[in-house]
Amino acid sequence: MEGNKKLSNRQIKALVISTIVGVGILSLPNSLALANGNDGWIPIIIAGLLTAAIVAIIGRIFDLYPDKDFFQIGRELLGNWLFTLFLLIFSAYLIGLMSFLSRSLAELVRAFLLDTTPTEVIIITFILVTSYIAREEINIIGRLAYHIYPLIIVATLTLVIFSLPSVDFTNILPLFQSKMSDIPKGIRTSFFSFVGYEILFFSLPYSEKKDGRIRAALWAIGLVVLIYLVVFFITLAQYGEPGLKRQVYPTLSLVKEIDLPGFFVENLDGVAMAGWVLMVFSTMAPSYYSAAKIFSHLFGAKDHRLFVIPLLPIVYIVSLLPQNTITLVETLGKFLDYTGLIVIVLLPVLMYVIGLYRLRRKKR
Amino acid sequence: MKKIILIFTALSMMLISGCWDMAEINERIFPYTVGVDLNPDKGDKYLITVSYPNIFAIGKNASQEERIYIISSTSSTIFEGIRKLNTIIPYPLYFKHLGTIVIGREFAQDEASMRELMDSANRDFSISRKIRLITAEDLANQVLCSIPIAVRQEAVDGTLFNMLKGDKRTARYTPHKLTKFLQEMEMTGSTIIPRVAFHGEDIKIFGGCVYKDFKFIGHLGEKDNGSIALLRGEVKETSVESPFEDILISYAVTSTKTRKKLDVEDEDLKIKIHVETEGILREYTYKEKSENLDPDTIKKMEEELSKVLEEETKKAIEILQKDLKADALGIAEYLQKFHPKVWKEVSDDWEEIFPEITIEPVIKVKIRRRGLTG
Repeated sequence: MEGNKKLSNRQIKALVISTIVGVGILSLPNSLALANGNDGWIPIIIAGLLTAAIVAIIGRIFDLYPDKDFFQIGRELLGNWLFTLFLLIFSAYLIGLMSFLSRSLAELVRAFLLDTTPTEVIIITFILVTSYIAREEINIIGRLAYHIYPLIIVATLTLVIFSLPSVDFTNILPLFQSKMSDIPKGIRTSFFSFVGYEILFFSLPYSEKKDGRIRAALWAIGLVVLIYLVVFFITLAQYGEPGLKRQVYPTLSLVKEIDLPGFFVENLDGVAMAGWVLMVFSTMAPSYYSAAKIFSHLFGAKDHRLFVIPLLPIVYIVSLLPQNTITLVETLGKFLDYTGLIVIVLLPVLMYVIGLYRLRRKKR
Repeated sequence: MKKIILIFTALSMMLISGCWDMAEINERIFPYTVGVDLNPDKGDKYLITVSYPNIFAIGKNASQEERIYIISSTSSTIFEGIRKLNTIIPYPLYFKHLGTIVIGREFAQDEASMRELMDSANRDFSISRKIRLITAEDLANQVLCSIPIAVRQEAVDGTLFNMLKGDKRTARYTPHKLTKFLQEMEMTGSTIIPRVAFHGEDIKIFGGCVYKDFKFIGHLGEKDNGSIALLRGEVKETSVESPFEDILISYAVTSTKTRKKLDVEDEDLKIKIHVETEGILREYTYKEKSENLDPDTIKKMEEELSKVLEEETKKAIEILQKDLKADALGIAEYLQKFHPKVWKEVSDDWEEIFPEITIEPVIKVKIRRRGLTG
């Protein structure tokens, strides 16, 4: 806990936003429309509230044990064996997540921008670039996030403003017509668009001020909910329910719809892709850092830099395992669903419950 | 030493890097128009026609005469046809700037082909969803081939696209984008796209072709197309003529507002479509005595005009309801959005219910300006 790697609350907020908003923003409206039709915004809000609850729990864990980092707390609360098991699942999850990110990125970049560049080259270059930033400490990544997250907000706003002339807001109607029994399905879909807040495990202990850091993280979740809602409503207003169900990447398709008079801007999908690559980069970098951190802890090394480059081939190979984009979602996506449930939902809740129980016993 | 390495890497990044699959812009072909037909001869199913500008004929130092190239090929699928065209052109085709798809009449009547076309256009990464759709009177190939010989539309290419861009001061045809076509197809099951033909020495776009379940089912005349567009709220500017005191007056619509309203009367659905138009009096008569138009005359004119419009729209509605049985007015969409409960009851037999419901146009005409004379 040296003094030089501190994060400000603003950086924590930026880190959470830029880590969460990533690959999912392109396809989220589509999967929500498939699950809940016009009422896809309900699951976004519910999933956002659930995420906020878990974020608050993570914050409370670090409040219970100030001056300790994630690994120390985990070992103390869960015991050596159980915590190591959790860490192994965590690292598998992070490797899966990174592979998923780089493969999705490569597939989309190839489709929209570089159609003759081999997928392998795109993946390798992308992982190499992120490995450079992942070798730094969390405060550097925090600074990176702080510079990328305004871009996310500006991009969303630009998208909305540019597409306003062509959207029809009556397409949002009718409200509350979907089956309530479908809501859990939508929550499951949208909850995994909130994946990424696990970076709080590695960033919260290094915050400059102890008070207000949870509030910053919660603000971040709120902003993410807002971004998702805006994107959902604007794509729904553009395509209507049946159309949205057909567009696999509605956000990108929406960019292609932009039609300003005078041919001044047209075919903006290239620009949008460039912005999106940055978003994915800012999701990938913290995950890479977390994975390296976990490995350095598992092997008892002091420095996580050692593990950045060895992770590269693993991520590369895993990312090439799925045959196509459909199996990518089917296999890696499923894998992420289950492992994610264990490490980013079960782990913090378990840690908090045990921590609270121990503390109460101590008081007695 | 460190500095030298740094400079070396910086230089190598600047000098060595670049586009490894670079393609010059003049080594790409950007088609503006694609025509799809069912092959009239024996053999493959489709006839695909592509027109693209000859960039060597553009600009001051044009080195070639022919401004547009038109190439075509037969094939068994649409995509295959495009690929096959690559065998007769020097550079690859890029569809990023595609503006118009011309659908041949027989092609339009074949549902399977239409569905294939829609999927192909919608699945493609590079094709913009803003492309305009248009139905040819006969073969799309003929329309495309007539672009170079059209006298008054001698643009390099994109003739059709420019005509369809949508800022025309007429309601005789209403351009539609691919997105809109698909959206209406899925929401209400039918839509209208304009019709194109080559007449004498001009390409003419006129009237509408009604599509139902992706299939072309019938024509709409220019007047009827205007009326339907008025009811759909798609009219930007148009003109209306009406008899008034032995002469015809001409009224230019400058803006319209439409609103649908549902009345349920004894289990029967009744839809009222309220239309409010604002506009300018364009032609009356050069009167013998100069006097200002009094408000009563204006009011009478407004009444006459709205009577004319109501009659015209009623006629058009009748064609849609009785002849074509196609809900191109978006009634189904309206019910889905604003009366989901009613829609739930009628959605299953909408095919049978739509021709039976009462659709009543209520048109209010406002003359806001009268020009420079009294």
